[in-house]
Amino acid sequence: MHKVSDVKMGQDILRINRHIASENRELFDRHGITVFNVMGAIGSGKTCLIEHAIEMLKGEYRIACIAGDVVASYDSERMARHGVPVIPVSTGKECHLDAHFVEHALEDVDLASFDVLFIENVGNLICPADFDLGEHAKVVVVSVSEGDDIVLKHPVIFKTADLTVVNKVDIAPYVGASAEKMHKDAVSCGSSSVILTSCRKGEGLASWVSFLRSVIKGT
Amino acid sequence: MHEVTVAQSVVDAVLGEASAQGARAVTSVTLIFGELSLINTEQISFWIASFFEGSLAEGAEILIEGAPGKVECRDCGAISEVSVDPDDKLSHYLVPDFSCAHCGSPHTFICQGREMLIKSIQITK
Repeated sequence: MHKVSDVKMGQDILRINRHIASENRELFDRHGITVFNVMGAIGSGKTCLIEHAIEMLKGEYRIACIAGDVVASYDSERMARHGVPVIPVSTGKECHLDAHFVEHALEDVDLASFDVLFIENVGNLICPADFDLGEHAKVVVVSVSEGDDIVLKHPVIFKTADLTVVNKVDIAPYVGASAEKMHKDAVSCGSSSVILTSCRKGEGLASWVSFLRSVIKGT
Repeated sequence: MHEVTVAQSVVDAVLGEASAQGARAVTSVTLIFGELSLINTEQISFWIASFFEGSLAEGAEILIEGAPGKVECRDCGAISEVSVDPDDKLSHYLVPDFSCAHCGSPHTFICQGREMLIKSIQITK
């Protein structure tokens, strides 16, 4: 008879990601860079919010972006139009970035050349939640056009968010959604902070920038 | 669809350990997925079994255990269990109550339930 034996492993499946994420965070801290991981569904308005943030902060801080998308060139061009360096990361088939993608994205970048890094994290509310990138703050963007029950369908990502942005509130009446319900749901899921915005109308953008400033000053 | 990525990590780790142990075959693999991890356990079992085909772990039984979600309160420090139904395969679609069971504060953080572990493997030599 073959000998049968049990081998205890107790191995963290995401241990390599966690390890690289903590190395990324140490690297950012050493260079005084504050990093925002911007998550949310396709079309929720992540790129637009980042564009507004660049415009409102670029006088005070040197900004860079990682544009993570299935095909990254489109968003990357939009961000670059604001005069900041952008590193496109095309994931091809993956629906989220992981710490390893971010590590490689930074290989040929002069880390002394910027103070704030926005990472746009592809697009959905499930996969990115399980992967730490080494960021200082997690932002989840959700638009009213996703339906006002979307927050309650994805409680974990909102629970772990440092900021939830309910975006496109100006079109809420046209898509039959209540931005107030989404705000309340994000609070009840335990999101640390929640704001309502409309990038098109400029609503709530002062709160968006004020959140970013408070994180930058705290790191 | 990050089940494929996670499945590949499991397969690499299991086959690495099995070969380090000089195994002829892997007969079972026991995994732990916290109830607040966003992994569909049926999908991941399927992908692990697919990736095991043609290896010394082909046909290995894949056993999955849960770990309850727990939150720690930033106000009173108590640790309480997050109420989700562990028998519900779609539990991440329901709304867990993340508030502190002791003082009711919403200011809590998840301290257990998001882990993904390879607990053990059974091998023949």
